[in-house]
Amino acid sequence: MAKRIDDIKSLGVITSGSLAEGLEMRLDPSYSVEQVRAGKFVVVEGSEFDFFCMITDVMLDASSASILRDPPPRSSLLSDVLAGDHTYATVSLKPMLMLERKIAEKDFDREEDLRPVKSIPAHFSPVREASNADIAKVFGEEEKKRYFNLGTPLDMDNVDVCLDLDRFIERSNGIFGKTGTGKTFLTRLVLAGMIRSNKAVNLIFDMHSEYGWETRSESGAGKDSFVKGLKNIFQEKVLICTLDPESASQRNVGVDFEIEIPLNSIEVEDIEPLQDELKLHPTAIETAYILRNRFGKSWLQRLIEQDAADLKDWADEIGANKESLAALYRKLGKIKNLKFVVEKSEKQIEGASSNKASINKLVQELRSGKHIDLEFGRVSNMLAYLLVANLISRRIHQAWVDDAEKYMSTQKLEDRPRPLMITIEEAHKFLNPSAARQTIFGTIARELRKYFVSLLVVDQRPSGIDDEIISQLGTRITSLLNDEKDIQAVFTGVSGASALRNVLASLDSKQQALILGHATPMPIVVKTRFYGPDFYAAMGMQSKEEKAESSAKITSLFPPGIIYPQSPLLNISSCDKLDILKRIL
Amino acid sequence: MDNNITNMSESIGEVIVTNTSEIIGQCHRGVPTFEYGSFIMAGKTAQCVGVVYNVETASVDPNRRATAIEVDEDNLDAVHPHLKALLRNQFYALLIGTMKDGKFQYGLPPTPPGLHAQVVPCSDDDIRELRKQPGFLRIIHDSGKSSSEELILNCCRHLLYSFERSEKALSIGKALSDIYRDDYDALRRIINRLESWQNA
Repeated sequence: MAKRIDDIKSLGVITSGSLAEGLEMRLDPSYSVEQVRAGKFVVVEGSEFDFFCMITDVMLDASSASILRDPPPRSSLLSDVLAGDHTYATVSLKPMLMLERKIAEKDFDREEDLRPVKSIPAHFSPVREASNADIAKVFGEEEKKRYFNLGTPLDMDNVDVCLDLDRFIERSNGIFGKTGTGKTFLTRLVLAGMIRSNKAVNLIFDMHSEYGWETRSESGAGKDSFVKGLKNIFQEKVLICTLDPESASQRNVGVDFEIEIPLNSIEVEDIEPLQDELKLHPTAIETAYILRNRFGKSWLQRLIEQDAADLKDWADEIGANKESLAALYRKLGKIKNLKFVVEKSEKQIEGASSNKASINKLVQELRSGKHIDLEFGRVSNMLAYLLVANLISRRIHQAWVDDAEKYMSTQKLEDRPRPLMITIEEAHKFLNPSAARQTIFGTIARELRKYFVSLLVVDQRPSGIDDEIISQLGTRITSLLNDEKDIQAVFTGVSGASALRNVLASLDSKQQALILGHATPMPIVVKTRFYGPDFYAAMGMQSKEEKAESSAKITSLFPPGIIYPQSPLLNISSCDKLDILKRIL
Repeated sequence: MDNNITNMSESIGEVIVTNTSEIIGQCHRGVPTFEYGSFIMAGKTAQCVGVVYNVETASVDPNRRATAIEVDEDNLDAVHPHLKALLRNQFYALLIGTMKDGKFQYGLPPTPPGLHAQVVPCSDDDIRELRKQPGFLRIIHDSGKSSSEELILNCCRHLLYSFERSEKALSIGKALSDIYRDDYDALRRIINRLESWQNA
């Protein structure tokens, strides 16, 4: 049970405030102003309600202007006398939630009882630091699989701030922060949480190949050491696909599939979002549509195969603008140079080698619940990234819309599509105001929640993302941002953002993040969880000995040679089997 | 000074004028008078506590003024031994509270000490009690006596006397800051003087 103010020292008292502007607290003279940090979680004890608040600003004040005009000498009796009574600190608090105090612990229901703030506490209500019990009450506890521990609140070590994963996957989400603030680690944490809980299946467009296997830690205690990737931790649950098998073999990491994209499967809609990247004029896109109408699926192949010298005649023949056609020809030639674009059909790709896969295969794996990390290897140029991400997402879009419609018609639970979350980096490239209307990601962010697909947008420049998209993001996890425009963008569509701005700008540059939105009951600053051996173990990663032991257990329980035709355990990994067995036993 | 306050436990004066807010006392013959800003007690059971705000020596007969006699001060007693009998020491004290069973309660006493009540200086223990409730300084401040700032400063000196700079000084400083809430300059003057005196 949370300690009441009678048991602990009060941080201060409320002296003024309004619902719109937040509360003002006079800091107790026994506290040093330096102990008070923006982003800290505090509780105001009103007469009937507890108000959960965040510290948003700290100010120095004096009872009389003459004190400020003629300051007392440093460390004099006078300065001691004035401190606390005549020269004092006031702290701005932003009330986020209120909870009726008479609700007993056992009757507490997080969804019902934690209410948005609709009133403010009376004058001189005492304020105390939040206790571990308060944090657990508001943010849930990780023991319940619905919640995922993301870190600890500022200045508190033994309590976890949890993300409500059920709510997290309901909407598209964003992870922001300027470069070097730990965006990648944060993203890896969140992805690990989702994979462990199995709440949603993940597709990660891994532009810099940093989520699947070990990567180098850039800073912190383990600087330059290597940290485990998702594949290391979750083994069979995660499939690594690559567009650049050479890079994978050079890095000496395993790959489940090499993705190849048939030239014929590239459609004009896949090229459209590349307008900026390829510097294509709108008439060039119109020319592409002319080609598509004339040659169908093979339009791109036909275009690329043309001899440059014959373009003029060809343009006349098909009735296209010569300059536009020439531009299209020149610029789309780059696509042919991409190694993973091949002149084969999807069937040929899959027939050629068991290791090769088309996009269809990828969609199937996602449907069956495997998480996919798509590495770009060395082809991490923007053109390849945009093309592939857009192309794959369009196929997925189609597949999930079909599945969702089937589910609508049958209304059977087994037909319900698995929620899918697509992680995209450098999101402003897909979701900038001009691209957001054309790329599939704009559509997903806006409306695909209905079809069980959402986005995890990872970006260092949120101001580049279309306002309409950003306002639709459910949960935003933000590391330090300095640029005023970026900060403004992160708070698009958030009420009372001005108070949170100070908090965001005052984050540490490492291992701290502000979480706000749908998956947390109130915004909070966390010191993010350390991504290391403890975390791997918490995620269920087994050491070699443990693995041998568990496989021996499974063999003894399910001797080989016996067929279990109706067993639900047939198609799941050994980790899952053990997990299920543990629960049964 | 130390001896004046700490060792004089017997009566050294007698109340000759008394009212709700102050008393006038006369010192016994041959006894040094009280110091400005020092604390006195008068009365029997609930003793009234006061602060000396004025001390004067004058002729016993109010109609006779002393005149200059042009004798060296050291030889005064030898040349004019009768003079002591013709002079009296008077002290004026503001009442600031009562002391009952060793506990100090600040505020004007319900009844002032009676006429001819004996007056004694406050002991160290009494002063320790006074120090717990420095709010009485406000009574001095509000008394309207001239140079109340000077009087308050001297009171504080007596309160802190023989005690090093510490939390006690701080708590008195806090009480002063409350009294001089609207007059930072006065507060600054008093505290700075108090501090320089302490450091001296």
